[in-house]
Amino acid sequence: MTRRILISLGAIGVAIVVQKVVIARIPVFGATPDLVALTVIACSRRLRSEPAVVLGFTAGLILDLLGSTPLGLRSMVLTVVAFVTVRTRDRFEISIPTIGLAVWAITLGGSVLLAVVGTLFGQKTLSDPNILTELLLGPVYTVLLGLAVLPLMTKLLGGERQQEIVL
Amino acid sequence: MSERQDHATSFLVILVILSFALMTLDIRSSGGGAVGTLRTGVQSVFAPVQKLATTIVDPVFDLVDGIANAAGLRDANAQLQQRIQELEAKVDELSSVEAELESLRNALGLVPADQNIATVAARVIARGDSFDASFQIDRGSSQGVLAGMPVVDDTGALVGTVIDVTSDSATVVPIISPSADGVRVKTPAQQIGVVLGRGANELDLELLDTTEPVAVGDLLKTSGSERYPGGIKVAKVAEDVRPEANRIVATATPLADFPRLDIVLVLQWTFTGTVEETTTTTSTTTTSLPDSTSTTGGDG
Repeated sequence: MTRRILISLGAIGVAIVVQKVVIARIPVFGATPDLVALTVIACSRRLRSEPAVVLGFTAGLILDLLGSTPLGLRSMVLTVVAFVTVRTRDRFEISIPTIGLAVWAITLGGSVLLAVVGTLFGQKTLSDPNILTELLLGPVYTVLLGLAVLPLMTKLLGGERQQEIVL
Repeated sequence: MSERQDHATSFLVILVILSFALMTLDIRSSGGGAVGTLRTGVQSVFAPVQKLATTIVDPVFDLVDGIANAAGLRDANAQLQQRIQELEAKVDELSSVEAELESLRNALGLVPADQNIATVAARVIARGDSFDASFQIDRGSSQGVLAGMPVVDDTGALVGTVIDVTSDSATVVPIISPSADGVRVKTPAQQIGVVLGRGANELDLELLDTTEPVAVGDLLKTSGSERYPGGIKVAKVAEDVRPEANRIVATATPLADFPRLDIVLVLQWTFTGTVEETTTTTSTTTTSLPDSTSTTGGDG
């Protein structure tokens, strides 16, 4: 289990750098996939509940510290993302389409939560005229990116859960 | 509900409460104190990795850009060649006028606010996303970058302000971010107003106590404030608007190309207590704003 946690932490670090250096440079119609949230979901599929939730919190904390959002905003969102993944993984790991649907729903929920709580804490995210486009397209791109990331993470973390579907 | 899931729920509750506590603490401390130190520490760790990654991926992006813009570049090149010939002729005419203007300025004791501010050239090494427009640059306090310094692009258009600095990197909040403070601007008709970020590549312009309309294409420049020196070009008015009750609210388009920012210049300018007055310092680079792009130094 320690090996899985270390791999997950490494994957989160790589995801953060790739997100900020590469993905953020290539917005399509103003939106980008959320590789960090996707990596948190991918790791939460394989980790035990508690490390998964703490991993989500850690990933968000690093993102907060690297950006200008209030410290704790993304930590809260990715903690919730990890928790929802842990709670629902047995239900959505039935087939590839259900996994895709779950990734879409969880990232959409995370983005909405980020926008709403961010606005409550002075980020004015909801006043952005393009917010709807970003909320709708971002999760779709994340699902598409998941086609490459989820199998890779499954390979790295191993697949010992019995009901898992190897995407 | 299993015991393990109960534990996960407890973790969730604790971490969410902790997150809200951190948000409150961060906002109340305005990014300073322990939170500021923590931010600086993490940014110091990630900055070298981001610099390395940027160095690796930059040639790939440049190549793709080059291929995509090849046809356009040929046309642009021909136009620029013709323009160079025209401008060379004008330079001869203007040099005598410039000398005369300089002597008159000296005689009147005027210091142009937008000239001779020392700058530090920096490369953008990490970008935010739809929810956080801030970005990181590869220059920090070791190179003379300080929190609060204005940032312009390589054409001299205003980009934003430095908010956090580590020894070798800094975080910049662009003017298009809704979280950014408003920028005091001046229209060609000398009307004073404020532009505020909307989050998208647009700005809200608000002019008070005005009787003159604004028109599409009107250039907005900083009017000089404790945040920005005067004379930096900011945006162009995007619609014709007439004043209502001596007030104008309009949309403006920023001149900086935010999605494609690669190289920026940090103005080593500090507010000295008098609006329109600048501090000229000796540094690695000097640039003339807003139209010149004479940048040296840095690795950009």
